Amino acid sequence: MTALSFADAMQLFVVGLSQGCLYSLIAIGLVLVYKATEQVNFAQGEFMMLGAFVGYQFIVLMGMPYWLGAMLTLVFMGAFGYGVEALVVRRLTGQPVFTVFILTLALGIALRAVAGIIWGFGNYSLPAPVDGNLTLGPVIISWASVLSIVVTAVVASALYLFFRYARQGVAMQALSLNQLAAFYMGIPVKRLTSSIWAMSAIFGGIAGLLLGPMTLVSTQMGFIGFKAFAGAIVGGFGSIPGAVIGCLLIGVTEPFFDIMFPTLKGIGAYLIMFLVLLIRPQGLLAQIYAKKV
Amino acid sequence: MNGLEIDNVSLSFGGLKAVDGLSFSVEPGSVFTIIGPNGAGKSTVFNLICRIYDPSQGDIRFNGKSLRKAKSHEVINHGIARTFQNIELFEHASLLDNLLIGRIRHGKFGPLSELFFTRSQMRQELAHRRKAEEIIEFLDLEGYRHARVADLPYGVRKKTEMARALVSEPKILLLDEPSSGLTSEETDDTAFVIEDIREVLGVTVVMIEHDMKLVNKVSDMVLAINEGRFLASGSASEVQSDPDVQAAYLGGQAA
Repeated sequence: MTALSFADAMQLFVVGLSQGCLYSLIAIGLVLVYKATEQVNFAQGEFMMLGAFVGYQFIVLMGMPYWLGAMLTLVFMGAFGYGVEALVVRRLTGQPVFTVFILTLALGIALRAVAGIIWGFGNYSLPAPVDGNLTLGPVIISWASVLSIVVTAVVASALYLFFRYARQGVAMQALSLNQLAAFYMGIPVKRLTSSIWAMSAIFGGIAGLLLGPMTLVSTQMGFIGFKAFAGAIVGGFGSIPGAVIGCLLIGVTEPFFDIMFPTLKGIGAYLIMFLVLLIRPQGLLAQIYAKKV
Repeated sequence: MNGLEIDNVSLSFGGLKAVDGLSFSVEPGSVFTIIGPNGAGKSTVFNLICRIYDPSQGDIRFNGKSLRKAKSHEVINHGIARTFQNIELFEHASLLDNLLIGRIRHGKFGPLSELFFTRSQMRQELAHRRKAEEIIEFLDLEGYRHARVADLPYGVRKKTEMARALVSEPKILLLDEPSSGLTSEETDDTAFVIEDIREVLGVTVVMIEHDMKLVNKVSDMVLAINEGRFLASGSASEVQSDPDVQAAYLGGQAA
């Protein structure tokens, strides 16, 4: 074990925080769909990858100004998420949960292959929306990381307000509690379910646009979704604040863990998930209630 | 014509004719009861009215307008609300929140006025809350306003579901076995509530019910069906003395 100076620790903390924010954006997408429909989208990581590639298409290959390309990417992702639910996932309504599990797993594999065929299997660089670094005493943090922290904070608070105050948000909560009753109260359940998938894909797209410049865009970048998954489980799968806390916890501890136990690099996230499942299986902020039969 | 009309409606599940050429009409302002043995197709009739199923033939009209083009989430906008035999509430929300969801069809504003909480938005939300309070008082639910629905006793949950349907200000209320699972005191109470729904709120009631005491007490008109077909209709005592109805309940052949 190496001893860490305070400055090094702060540096690792900030790096971990921005990484945790990216996990959070993916996890929010996962939890959103799960809360509303009890379906788990194992292709959420690949949604993020697709967002990064579509951004690469618009911004790098077609040479659009960054913010225009980013906007178009999110519009595309929204339409894509809506379409995936309306055309594919909806056909499995009423089937056992594992059918959706297999469907989304297959969707993820297919998306990786299709992205590879369209854009190639190499690594591609996506420009960051902001350049340079911010220096806070001994700690140096790139503006891109600062942006990912800010964006996550904005998205999480906007979602909170949306579910708390907006009529559509309340309607989404109602449909997540009882779809049949929601139908009879005049809530357009099918359209809202598709909209939830659209929102979830947009969050995936945001994560892809933010992660792309840091790790390069490749068909393999979606595997980071597994860490977001671990974070969501740590938080108690049905809770959005829980998912954010879980992902931040994993993001922040990960770099410390990797430095202290270099031979176990990369498994810190899953060790934390394992510990939480052992000690507090319902997650940090439990949201899942036993279903009445 | 006014009121609810079921016009020669049929529905099959594979080879089984769940509803077979059934016709009846419900007068506005009346209490109309559907009886019949288990599997007679009573709940299926409700599910047809609520557009869960699309009939293979026939039409369903409410105040002269066909419901066959409506999607199931649009039925409530025609003024048709319902309850379920096994209670379908938003279990992990409070009673008050359940009732406020019942107001969702009356919400008129967009996300911007919600975001800025404009004065007209505030007035509208106050009106929703007043309506919810009105129904809470009407059904004696004052003590449970902020309780989580999953924690409430069965009889109160049953009433909560009725309340949620009523806050939507329906013209017609479909009650699927309002007395099932209730104690005999609660069933007596239900009879008064149904009379009040008709007389005080002016809402037409269509109910499916097995408890003949309750049926006799509140019904203006009774319809008996079996195997999806019309058996008899008339006053409660007329229908009960009908030989076909008696045969259907005893499982024998019609005389």
